[in-house]
Amino acid sequence: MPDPFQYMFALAAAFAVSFFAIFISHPAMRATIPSLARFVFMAGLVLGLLTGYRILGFEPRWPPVNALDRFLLIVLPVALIVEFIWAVPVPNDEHNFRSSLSGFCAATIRFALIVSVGRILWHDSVYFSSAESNTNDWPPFIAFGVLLSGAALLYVALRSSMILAFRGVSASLTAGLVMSLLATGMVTMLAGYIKGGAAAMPLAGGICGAALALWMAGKKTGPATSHGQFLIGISVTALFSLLWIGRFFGQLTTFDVLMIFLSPHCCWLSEFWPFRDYSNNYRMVIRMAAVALILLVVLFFKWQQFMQKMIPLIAFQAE
Amino acid sequence: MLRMMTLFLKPLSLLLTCCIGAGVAWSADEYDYDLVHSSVSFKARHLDISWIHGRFNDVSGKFIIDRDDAAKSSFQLTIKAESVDTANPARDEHLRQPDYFDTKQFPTIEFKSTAVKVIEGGYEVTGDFTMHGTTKKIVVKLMGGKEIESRGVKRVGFSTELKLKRSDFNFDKSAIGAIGDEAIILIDCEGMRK
Repeated sequence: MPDPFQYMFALAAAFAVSFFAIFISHPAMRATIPSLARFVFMAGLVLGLLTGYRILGFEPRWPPVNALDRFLLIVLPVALIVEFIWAVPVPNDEHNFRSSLSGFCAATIRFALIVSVGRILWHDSVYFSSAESNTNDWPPFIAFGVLLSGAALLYVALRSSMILAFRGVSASLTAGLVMSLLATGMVTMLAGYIKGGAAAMPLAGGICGAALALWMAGKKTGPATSHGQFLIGISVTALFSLLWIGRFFGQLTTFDVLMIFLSPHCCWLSEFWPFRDYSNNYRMVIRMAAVALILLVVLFFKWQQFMQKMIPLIAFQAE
Repeated sequence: MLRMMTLFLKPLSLLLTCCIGAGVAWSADEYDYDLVHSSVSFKARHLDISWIHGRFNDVSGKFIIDRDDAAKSSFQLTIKAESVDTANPARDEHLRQPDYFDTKQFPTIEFKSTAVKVIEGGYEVTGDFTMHGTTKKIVVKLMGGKEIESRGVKRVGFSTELKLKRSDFNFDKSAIGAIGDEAIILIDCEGMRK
Protein backbone atom coordinates (compact mmCIF):
# COMPACT_ATOMS: atom_id res chain seq x y z
CA MET A 1 0.00 0.00 0.00
CA PRO A 2 1.24 3.55 -0.72
CA ASP A 3 2.79 5.18 2.32
CA PRO A 4 2.95 8.99 1.93
CA PHE A 5 5.02 9.33 5.11
CA GLN A 6 7.66 6.99 3.75
CA TYR A 7 7.87 9.01 0.52
CA MET A 8 8.17 12.25 2.47
CA PHE A 9 10.81 10.69 4.70
CA ALA A 10 12.79 9.44 1.68
CA LEU A 11 12.56 12.88 0.09
CA ALA A 12 13.64 14.64 3.29
CA ALA A 13 16.48 12.18 3.93
CA ALA A 14 17.83 12.51 0.37
CA PHE A 15 17.63 16.29 0.74
CA ALA A 16 19.37 16.35 4.14
CA VAL A 17 22.15 13.90 3.21
CA SER A 18 22.93 15.62 -0.11
CA PHE A 19 22.84 19.03 1.52
CA PHE A 20 25.10 18.20 4.46
CA ALA A 21 27.49 16.01 2.46
CA ILE A 22 28.08 18.77 -0.08
CA PHE A 23 27.97 21.66 2.36
CA ILE A 24 30.42 20.07 4.79
CA SER A 25 32.82 19.14 2.00
CA HIS A 26 32.51 22.43 0.11
CA PRO A 27 36.07 23.50 0.98
CA ALA A 28 37.18 20.51 -1.10
CA MET A 29 35.08 21.89 -3.96
CA ARG A 30 37.34 24.90 -3.99
CA ALA A 31 40.19 22.55 -4.76
CA THR A 32 42.50 23.56 -7.54
CA ILE A 33 41.90 20.16 -9.14
CA PRO A 34 38.52 20.60 -10.87
CA SER A 35 37.86 16.89 -11.19
CA LEU A 36 38.23 16.45 -7.40
CA ALA A 37 35.73 19.25 -6.80
CA ARG A 38 33.30 17.67 -9.24
CA PHE A 39 33.80 14.26 -7.68
CA VAL A 40 33.06 15.56 -4.18
CA PHE A 41 29.92 17.23 -5.46
CA MET A 42 28.75 14.13 -7.32
CA ALA A 43 29.51 11.88 -4.33
CA GLY A 44 27.35 14.09 -2.10
CA LEU A 45 24.44 13.84 -4.49
CA VAL A 46 24.85 10.07 -4.95
CA LEU A 47 24.94 9.60 -1.17
CA GLY A 48 21.66 11.47 -0.85
CA LEU A 49 20.03 9.42 -3.62
CA LEU A 50 21.23 6.13 -2.14
CA THR A 51 19.81 7.10 1.26
CA GLY A 52 16.45 8.01 -0.25
CA TYR A 53 16.17 4.82 -2.30
CA ARG A 54 17.28 2.73 0.68
CA ILE A 55 14.46 4.19 2.78
CA LEU A 56 11.99 3.38 0.02
CA GLY A 57 13.27 -0.20 0.03
CA PHE A 58 14.30 -0.13 -3.63
CA GLU A 59 16.40 -3.17 -4.51
CA PRO A 60 16.98 -3.08 -8.26
CA ARG A 61 18.09 -6.42 -9.69
CA TRP A 62 21.05 -7.03 -11.97
CA PRO A 63 20.59 -7.71 -14.82
CA PRO A 64 17.71 -5.26 -14.72
CA VAL A 65 14.40 -6.75 -15.84
CA ASN A 66 12.12 -3.74 -15.86
CA ALA A 67 12.28 -0.11 -16.92
CA LEU A 68 12.69 1.29 -13.40
CA ASP A 69 15.63 -1.03 -12.67
CA ARG A 70 17.24 -0.01 -15.97
CA PHE A 71 16.76 3.64 -15.04
CA LEU A 72 18.36 3.19 -11.61
CA LEU A 73 21.17 0.86 -12.70
CA ILE A 74 22.04 2.11 -16.18
CA VAL A 75 20.56 5.47 -17.16
CA LEU A 76 21.09 7.35 -13.89
CA PRO A 77 24.72 6.20 -13.29
CA VAL A 78 25.65 6.85 -16.93
CA ALA A 79 23.99 10.28 -16.75
CA LEU A 80 25.99 11.03 -13.58
CA ILE A 81 29.23 10.04 -15.30
CA VAL A 82 28.39 11.97 -18.46
CA GLU A 83 27.53 15.11 -16.53
CA PHE A 84 30.61 14.58 -14.36
CA ILE A 85 32.79 14.71 -17.49
CA TRP A 86 30.68 17.35 -19.20
CA ALA A 87 30.59 19.91 -16.41
CA VAL A 88 34.10 21.24 -17.01
CA PRO A 89 34.46 24.34 -14.89
CA VAL A 90 36.16 26.56 -17.48
CA PRO A 91 33.23 27.93 -19.45
CA ASN A 92 34.88 31.35 -19.98
CA ASP A 93 36.95 30.10 -22.89
CA GLU A 94 34.33 28.24 -24.85
CA HIS A 95 36.57 27.53 -27.87
CA ASN A 96 39.16 25.89 -25.69
CA PHE A 97 36.44 23.95 -23.88
CA ARG A 98 34.91 22.65 -27.07
CA SER A 99 38.20 21.60 -28.51
CA SER A 100 39.34 19.82 -25.38
CA LEU A 101 39.44 16.04 -25.40
CA SER A 102 37.21 15.69 -22.34
CA GLY A 103 34.69 18.02 -23.91
CA PHE A 104 34.64 15.95 -27.09
CA CYS A 105 34.32 12.68 -25.14
CA ALA A 106 31.57 14.06 -22.95
CA ALA A 107 29.67 15.43 -25.95
CA THR A 108 29.92 12.06 -27.69
CA ILE A 109 28.81 10.06 -24.64
CA ARG A 110 26.08 12.56 -23.87
CA PHE A 111 24.79 12.34 -27.43
CA ALA A 112 24.88 8.54 -27.23
CA LEU A 113 22.94 8.70 -23.96
CA ILE A 114 20.35 11.08 -25.41
CA VAL A 115 19.81 8.77 -28.37
CA SER A 116 19.69 5.57 -26.31
CA VAL A 117 17.74 6.49 -23.14
CA GLY A 118 14.37 5.60 -24.64
CA ARG A 119 15.72 2.39 -26.17
CA ILE A 120 17.33 1.31 -22.88
CA LEU A 121 14.11 1.89 -20.96
CA TRP A 122 12.08 0.03 -23.59
CA HIS A 123 14.41 -2.96 -23.70
CA ASP A 124 12.62 -6.31 -24.10
CA SER A 125 9.20 -4.71 -23.65
CA VAL A 126 6.22 -4.83 -26.00
CA TYR A 127 7.61 -1.73 -27.71
CA PHE A 128 10.97 -3.17 -28.62
CA SER A 129 11.38 -6.87 -27.95
CA SER A 130 13.69 -9.34 -29.60
CA ALA A 131 12.63 -10.87 -32.91
CA GLU A 132 12.06 -14.37 -31.52
CA SER A 133 9.67 -13.29 -28.76
CA ASN A 134 7.47 -11.52 -31.35
CA THR A 135 5.41 -9.61 -28.82
CA ASN A 136 5.86 -6.13 -30.27
CA ASP A 137 2.82 -3.89 -29.97
CA TRP A 138 4.09 -1.56 -32.68
CA PRO A 139 5.70 -2.04 -36.09
CA PRO A 140 9.42 -1.08 -36.04
CA PHE A 141 9.00 2.18 -37.98
CA ILE A 142 6.56 3.54 -35.36
CA ALA A 143 8.85 2.45 -32.52
CA PHE A 144 11.83 4.14 -34.22
CA GLY A 145 9.75 7.26 -34.84
CA VAL A 146 8.79 7.52 -31.17
CA LEU A 147 12.38 6.88 -30.05
CA LEU A 148 13.66 9.55 -32.43
CA SER A 149 11.05 12.06 -31.25
CA GLY A 150 11.96 11.34 -27.63
CA ALA A 151 15.68 11.77 -28.33
CA ALA A 152 15.02 15.06 -30.17
CA LEU A 153 12.90 16.31 -27.26
CA LEU A 154 15.58 15.42 -24.72
CA TYR A 155 18.31 17.08 -26.84
CA VAL A 156 16.28 20.29 -27.22
CA ALA A 157 15.46 20.32 -23.49
CA LEU A 158 19.11 19.85 -22.49
CA ARG A 159 20.26 22.49 -24.97
CA SER A 160 17.57 24.94 -23.84
CA SER A 161 18.47 24.30 -20.18
CA MET A 162 22.17 24.91 -20.78
CA ILE A 163 21.47 28.17 -22.63
CA LEU A 164 19.26 29.28 -19.73
CA ALA A 165 22.01 28.31 -17.27
CA PHE A 166 24.55 30.44 -19.16
CA ARG A 167 22.06 33.33 -19.08
CA GLY A 168 22.15 33.19 -15.27
CA VAL A 169 18.78 31.48 -14.77
CA SER A 170 20.23 28.25 -13.36
CA ALA A 171 18.81 28.66 -9.81
CA SER A 172 15.24 29.16 -11.08
CA LEU A 173 15.68 26.39 -13.64
CA THR A 174 16.93 23.93 -11.00
CA ALA A 175 14.00 24.86 -8.75
CA GLY A 176 11.66 24.35 -11.70
CA LEU A 177 13.19 20.94 -12.43
CA VAL A 178 12.82 19.88 -8.78
CA MET A 179 9.17 20.98 -8.86
CA SER A 180 8.68 19.00 -12.08
CA LEU A 181 10.27 15.91 -10.55
CA LEU A 182 7.92 16.19 -7.56
CA ALA A 183 4.95 16.63 -9.89
CA THR A 184 6.11 13.61 -11.91
CA GLY A 185 6.15 11.51 -8.75
CA MET A 186 2.70 12.61 -7.66
CA VAL A 187 1.10 12.34 -11.10
CA THR A 188 2.60 8.89 -11.73
CA MET A 189 1.25 7.68 -8.37
CA LEU A 190 -2.17 9.20 -9.03
CA ALA A 191 -2.20 7.34 -12.35
CA GLY A 192 -1.71 4.08 -10.42
CA TYR A 193 2.03 3.36 -10.70
CA ILE A 194 3.09 3.76 -7.06
CA LYS A 195 6.72 2.63 -7.26
CA GLY A 196 7.38 4.65 -10.42
CA GLY A 197 6.10 7.76 -8.67
CA ALA A 198 8.05 7.03 -5.51
CA ALA A 199 11.27 6.84 -7.56
CA ALA A 200 11.02 10.57 -8.25
CA MET A 201 11.05 11.53 -4.57
CA PRO A 202 14.71 10.87 -3.66
CA LEU A 203 15.74 12.54 -6.92
CA ALA A 204 13.76 15.68 -6.12
CA GLY A 205 15.10 15.72 -2.54
CA GLY A 206 18.72 14.97 -3.50
CA ILE A 207 18.87 17.55 -6.29
CA CYS A 208 17.18 20.17 -4.11
CA GLY A 209 19.62 19.52 -1.25
CA ALA A 210 22.63 19.64 -3.58
CA ALA A 211 21.40 22.86 -5.20
CA LEU A 212 20.82 24.51 -1.83
CA ALA A 213 24.24 23.45 -0.54
CA LEU A 214 25.79 24.74 -3.75
CA TRP A 215 23.99 28.04 -3.41
CA MET A 216 25.03 28.46 0.23
CA ALA A 217 28.60 27.40 -0.51
CA GLY A 218 28.58 29.63 -3.58
CA LYS A 219 27.82 32.62 -1.35
CA LYS A 220 31.22 32.08 0.24
CA THR A 221 33.18 30.64 -2.61
CA GLY A 222 31.74 32.41 -5.64
CA PRO A 223 29.48 31.01 -8.31
CA ALA A 224 30.15 27.36 -9.09
CA THR A 225 28.61 27.32 -12.55
CA SER A 226 29.90 23.91 -13.56
CA HIS A 227 28.19 22.22 -10.58
CA GLY A 228 24.96 23.97 -11.48
CA GLN A 229 25.21 22.62 -15.04
CA PHE A 230 25.87 19.17 -13.60
CA LEU A 231 22.66 19.33 -11.56
CA ILE A 232 20.61 20.62 -14.48
CA GLY A 233 21.92 17.89 -16.80
CA ILE A 234 21.11 15.15 -14.28
CA SER A 235 17.68 16.62 -13.52
CA VAL A 236 16.63 16.90 -17.17
CA THR A 237 17.77 13.33 -18.00
CA ALA A 238 16.12 11.90 -14.86
CA LEU A 239 12.90 13.83 -15.48
CA PHE A 240 12.80 12.60 -19.08
CA SER A 241 13.40 8.97 -18.02
CA LEU A 242 10.76 8.92 -15.29
CA LEU A 243 8.17 10.50 -17.57
CA TRP A 244 9.09 8.05 -20.34
CA ILE A 245 8.53 5.15 -17.92
CA GLY A 246 5.27 6.67 -16.68
CA ARG A 247 4.03 7.17 -20.24
CA PHE A 248 4.96 3.80 -21.71
CA PHE A 249 4.73 1.48 -18.70
CA GLY A 250 2.28 3.39 -16.49
CA GLN A 251 -0.88 5.28 -17.36
CA LEU A 252 0.45 8.82 -17.96
CA THR A 253 -0.91 10.49 -21.08
CA THR A 254 1.26 12.22 -23.69
CA PHE A 255 -0.35 15.50 -22.60
CA ASP A 256 0.70 14.98 -18.94
CA VAL A 257 4.21 14.05 -19.97
CA LEU A 258 4.78 16.99 -22.34
CA MET A 259 3.31 19.53 -19.93
CA ILE A 260 5.50 18.36 -17.03
CA PHE A 261 8.66 17.91 -19.12
CA LEU A 262 8.41 21.31 -20.79
CA SER A 263 7.20 23.26 -17.73
CA PRO A 264 10.74 24.17 -16.44
CA HIS A 265 11.36 25.85 -19.79
CA CYS A 266 8.78 28.47 -18.84
CA CYS A 267 11.84 30.09 -17.27
CA TRP A 268 12.39 31.52 -20.76
CA LEU A 269 9.40 33.76 -20.11
CA SER A 270 11.50 36.18 -18.08
CA GLU A 271 13.99 36.53 -20.94
CA PHE A 272 11.51 38.21 -23.24
CA TRP A 273 9.68 41.49 -23.33
CA PRO A 274 8.04 42.83 -21.17
CA PHE A 275 9.48 40.75 -18.30
CA ARG A 276 13.16 41.07 -19.25
CA ASP A 277 13.16 44.70 -18.08
CA TYR A 278 11.89 43.81 -14.60
CA SER A 279 14.11 43.41 -11.54
CA ASN A 280 15.86 40.07 -10.96
CA ASN A 281 13.67 39.13 -7.99
CA TYR A 282 10.48 39.92 -9.85
CA ARG A 283 11.66 37.92 -12.86
CA MET A 284 12.41 34.97 -10.61
CA VAL A 285 8.88 35.12 -9.16
CA ILE A 286 7.44 35.16 -12.70
CA ARG A 287 9.52 32.12 -13.68
CA MET A 288 8.51 30.10 -10.63
CA ALA A 289 4.84 31.11 -10.92
CA ALA A 290 4.74 30.04 -14.60
CA VAL A 291 6.27 26.61 -13.84
CA ALA A 292 4.05 26.08 -10.79
CA LEU A 293 0.90 27.07 -12.67
CA ILE A 294 1.43 24.48 -15.40
CA LEU A 295 2.26 21.75 -12.88
CA LEU A 296 -0.77 22.59 -10.76
CA VAL A 297 -3.04 22.36 -13.80
CA VAL A 298 -1.68 18.89 -14.65
CA LEU A 299 -1.98 17.78 -11.00
CA PHE A 300 -5.51 19.11 -10.76
CA PHE A 301 -6.70 17.14 -13.79
CA LYS A 302 -4.90 14.00 -12.62
CA TRP A 303 -6.40 14.34 -9.16
CA GLN A 304 -9.88 14.60 -10.68
CA GLN A 305 -9.26 11.44 -12.73
CA PHE A 306 -7.96 9.70 -9.61
CA MET A 307 -11.09 10.65 -7.65
CA GLN A 308 -13.31 9.34 -10.43
CA LYS A 309 -11.50 6.10 -11.20
CA MET A 310 -9.47 5.00 -8.20
CA ILE A 311 -11.32 6.30 -5.13
CA PRO A 312 -14.29 3.94 -5.64
CA LEU A 313 -11.80 1.09 -5.84
CA ILE A 314 -9.95 2.13 -2.67
CA ALA A 315 -13.24 2.79 -0.84
CA PHE A 316 -14.42 -0.66 -1.89
CA GLN A 317 -11.16 -2.16 -0.67
CA ALA A 318 -11.43 -0.38 2.67
CA GLU A 319 -14.91 -1.70 3.34
CA MET B 1 24.11 -58.33 -56.63
CA LEU B 2 25.03 -55.50 -54.26
CA ARG B 3 23.23 -53.04 -56.55
CA MET B 4 20.13 -55.26 -56.52
CA MET B 5 20.19 -55.40 -52.73
CA THR B 6 20.52 -51.62 -52.48
CA LEU B 7 17.57 -51.17 -54.82
CA PHE B 8 15.51 -53.52 -52.62
CA LEU B 9 16.64 -52.16 -49.26
CA LYS B 10 16.08 -48.48 -50.01
CA PRO B 11 12.27 -48.70 -50.37
CA LEU B 12 12.14 -51.09 -47.44
CA SER B 13 13.94 -48.69 -45.13
CA LEU B 14 11.69 -45.89 -46.36
CA LEU B 15 8.62 -47.98 -45.60
CA LEU B 16 9.95 -48.78 -42.14
CA THR B 17 10.65 -45.12 -41.40
CA CYS B 18 7.14 -44.19 -42.48
CA CYS B 19 5.65 -46.90 -40.30
CA ILE B 20 7.65 -45.83 -37.25
CA GLY B 21 6.81 -42.17 -37.89
CA ALA B 22 3.14 -42.98 -38.28
CA GLY B 23 3.25 -45.06 -35.13
CA VAL B 24 4.55 -42.06 -33.18
CA ALA B 25 1.89 -39.83 -34.68
CA TRP B 26 -0.84 -42.30 -33.78
CA SER B 27 0.19 -42.71 -30.15
CA ALA B 28 0.92 -39.00 -29.47
CA ASP B 29 -2.09 -36.77 -29.97
CA GLU B 30 -1.71 -33.03 -30.36
CA TYR B 31 -4.43 -30.80 -28.99
CA ASP B 32 -4.99 -27.06 -29.25
CA TYR B 33 -6.23 -25.11 -26.25
CA ASP B 34 -9.95 -24.45 -26.63
CA LEU B 35 -10.47 -20.87 -25.45
CA VAL B 36 -14.27 -21.16 -25.60
CA HIS B 37 -14.56 -24.04 -23.16
CA SER B 38 -11.61 -23.32 -20.89
CA SER B 39 -10.73 -20.84 -18.22
CA VAL B 40 -7.70 -19.67 -16.32
CA SER B 41 -8.83 -17.89 -13.19
CA PHE B 42 -7.23 -16.85 -9.94
CA LYS B 43 -8.15 -15.77 -6.47
CA ALA B 44 -6.24 -13.95 -3.77
CA ARG B 45 -7.03 -13.11 -0.17
CA HIS B 46 -8.35 -9.63 0.57
CA LEU B 47 -7.50 -8.31 4.04
CA ASP B 48 -7.24 -11.99 4.99
CA ILE B 49 -11.01 -12.26 5.37
CA SER B 50 -12.30 -12.98 1.86
CA TRP B 51 -11.24 -13.73 -1.72
CA ILE B 52 -10.92 -11.53 -4.80
CA HIS B 53 -11.52 -13.45 -8.03
CA GLY B 54 -10.23 -12.73 -11.48
CA ARG B 55 -9.50 -14.44 -14.77
CA PHE B 56 -7.37 -14.15 -17.89
CA ASN B 57 -9.41 -13.90 -21.06
CA ASP B 58 -6.68 -14.45 -23.66
CA VAL B 59 -5.00 -17.83 -23.32
CA SER B 60 -3.48 -20.19 -25.86
CA GLY B 61 -1.71 -23.51 -25.58
CA LYS B 62 -0.85 -26.88 -26.98
CA PHE B 63 -0.82 -30.34 -25.39
CA ILE B 64 0.83 -33.40 -26.83
CA ILE B 65 -0.43 -36.51 -25.05
CA ASP B 66 1.26 -39.82 -25.60
CA ARG B 67 -1.00 -42.48 -24.09
CA ASP B 68 1.69 -45.18 -24.37
CA ASP B 69 4.61 -43.24 -22.98
CA ALA B 70 3.59 -40.31 -20.78
CA ALA B 71 7.17 -39.05 -20.64
CA LYS B 72 6.81 -38.05 -24.29
CA SER B 73 3.79 -35.87 -23.50
CA SER B 74 4.10 -32.13 -23.18
CA PHE B 75 1.96 -29.23 -22.06
CA GLN B 76 2.36 -25.60 -22.99
CA LEU B 77 0.23 -22.65 -21.94
CA THR B 78 0.58 -18.95 -22.78
CA ILE B 79 -1.52 -16.37 -20.96
CA LYS B 80 -1.71 -12.75 -22.16
CA ALA B 81 -1.26 -10.77 -18.92
CA GLU B 82 -3.01 -7.77 -20.51
CA SER B 83 -6.26 -9.80 -20.58
CA VAL B 84 -6.61 -9.80 -16.77
CA ASP B 85 -10.25 -9.31 -15.80
CA THR B 86 -11.52 -8.87 -12.25
CA ALA B 87 -14.90 -7.43 -13.24
CA ASN B 88 -13.68 -3.96 -12.32
CA PRO B 89 -12.04 -1.96 -15.17
CA ALA B 90 -10.22 0.45 -12.83
CA ARG B 91 -8.69 -2.42 -10.88
CA ASP B 92 -7.78 -4.22 -14.12
CA GLU B 93 -5.91 -1.13 -15.34
CA HIS B 94 -4.14 -0.96 -12.00
CA LEU B 95 -3.17 -4.64 -12.19
CA ARG B 96 -1.63 -4.10 -15.65
CA GLN B 97 0.75 -1.46 -14.28
CA PRO B 98 4.37 -2.20 -13.27
CA ASP B 99 3.47 -2.48 -9.56
CA TYR B 100 1.63 -5.70 -10.43
CA PHE B 101 1.79 -7.62 -13.74
CA ASP B 102 3.77 -4.94 -15.68
CA THR B 103 2.12 -6.10 -18.88
CA LYS B 104 4.14 -3.80 -21.18
CA GLN B 105 7.36 -5.35 -19.90
CA PHE B 106 6.12 -8.90 -19.35
CA PRO B 107 3.27 -9.40 -21.81
CA THR B 108 2.87 -13.13 -21.25
CA ILE B 109 2.69 -15.66 -18.43
CA GLU B 110 3.96 -19.02 -19.67
CA PHE B 111 4.13 -22.61 -18.62
CA LYS B 112 6.23 -25.19 -20.46
CA SER B 113 6.41 -28.74 -19.22
CA THR B 114 9.76 -30.45 -18.81
CA ALA B 115 8.62 -33.84 -17.45
CA VAL B 116 5.32 -35.69 -17.38
CA LYS B 117 4.37 -38.82 -15.49
CA VAL B 118 1.11 -40.69 -15.02
CA ILE B 119 -0.62 -40.56 -11.65
CA GLU B 120 -3.97 -41.91 -10.63
CA GLY B 121 -6.64 -39.86 -12.40
CA GLY B 122 -4.29 -37.75 -14.47
CA TYR B 123 -0.73 -36.59 -14.92
CA GLU B 124 1.91 -35.04 -12.73
CA VAL B 125 3.54 -32.34 -14.82
CA THR B 126 6.80 -30.65 -13.89
CA GLY B 127 7.59 -27.49 -15.82
CA ASP B 128 8.90 -23.95 -15.99
CA PHE B 129 6.43 -21.29 -14.99
CA THR B 130 7.41 -17.80 -16.12
CA MET B 131 5.63 -14.80 -14.69
CA HIS B 132 6.77 -11.20 -14.20
CA GLY B 133 10.17 -11.99 -15.73
CA THR B 134 10.93 -14.78 -13.26
CA THR B 135 10.98 -18.47 -14.10
CA LYS B 136 10.38 -21.10 -11.40
CA LYS B 137 10.10 -24.83 -11.66
CA ILE B 138 6.68 -25.99 -10.47
CA VAL B 139 4.83 -29.29 -10.26
CA VAL B 140 1.13 -29.42 -11.13
CA LYS B 141 -1.30 -32.29 -10.91
CA LEU B 142 -3.42 -32.26 -14.04
CA MET B 143 -6.51 -34.25 -13.26
CA GLY B 144 -8.56 -35.68 -16.09
CA GLY B 145 -7.31 -36.60 -19.52
CA LYS B 146 -10.34 -38.51 -20.72
CA GLU B 147 -10.87 -38.13 -24.47
CA ILE B 148 -14.29 -37.92 -26.07
CA GLU B 149 -15.46 -37.16 -29.60
CA SER B 150 -18.12 -34.52 -30.12
CA ARG B 151 -19.30 -33.41 -33.58
CA GLY B 152 -16.21 -34.75 -35.26
CA VAL B 153 -13.83 -33.03 -32.86
CA LYS B 154 -11.84 -35.02 -30.33
CA ARG B 155 -11.62 -33.31 -26.96
CA VAL B 156 -9.63 -33.87 -23.82
CA GLY B 157 -10.13 -32.04 -20.55
CA PHE B 158 -7.91 -31.27 -17.57
CA SER B 159 -8.21 -29.27 -14.43
CA THR B 160 -5.71 -28.21 -11.83
CA GLU B 161 -5.18 -25.81 -8.99
CA LEU B 162 -1.86 -24.34 -7.98
CA LYS B 163 -0.71 -21.98 -5.28
CA LEU B 164 1.90 -19.34 -6.03
CA LYS B 165 3.45 -16.63 -3.96
CA ARG B 166 3.70 -13.27 -5.72
CA SER B 167 6.87 -12.49 -3.77
CA ASP B 168 8.54 -15.53 -5.40
CA PHE B 169 8.02 -13.89 -8.78
CA ASN B 170 9.48 -10.51 -7.82
CA PHE B 171 6.25 -8.63 -7.53
CA ASP B 172 6.76 -5.36 -5.71
CA LYS B 173 6.75 -6.08 -1.98
CA SER B 174 5.05 -2.77 -1.19
CA ALA B 175 2.14 -3.82 -3.42
CA ILE B 176 1.59 -6.89 -1.25
CA GLY B 177 -0.62 -5.46 1.46
CA ALA B 178 -4.37 -5.65 1.48
CA ILE B 179 -4.16 -8.30 -1.23
CA GLY B 180 -2.40 -11.41 0.07
CA ASP B 181 0.94 -12.65 -1.18
CA GLU B 182 -0.43 -16.05 -2.11
CA ALA B 183 -2.59 -16.48 -5.19
CA ILE B 184 -4.48 -19.61 -6.16
CA ILE B 185 -4.62 -20.26 -9.89
CA LEU B 186 -7.40 -22.48 -11.18
CA ILE B 187 -7.05 -23.94 -14.65
CA ASP B 188 -9.87 -25.81 -16.32
CA CYS B 189 -9.04 -26.46 -19.91
CA GLU B 190 -10.11 -28.42 -22.90
CA GLY B 191 -7.87 -29.38 -25.76
CA MET B 192 -9.28 -30.21 -29.17
CA ARG B 193 -8.12 -31.94 -32.32
CA LYS B 194 -9.79 -33.04 -35.51
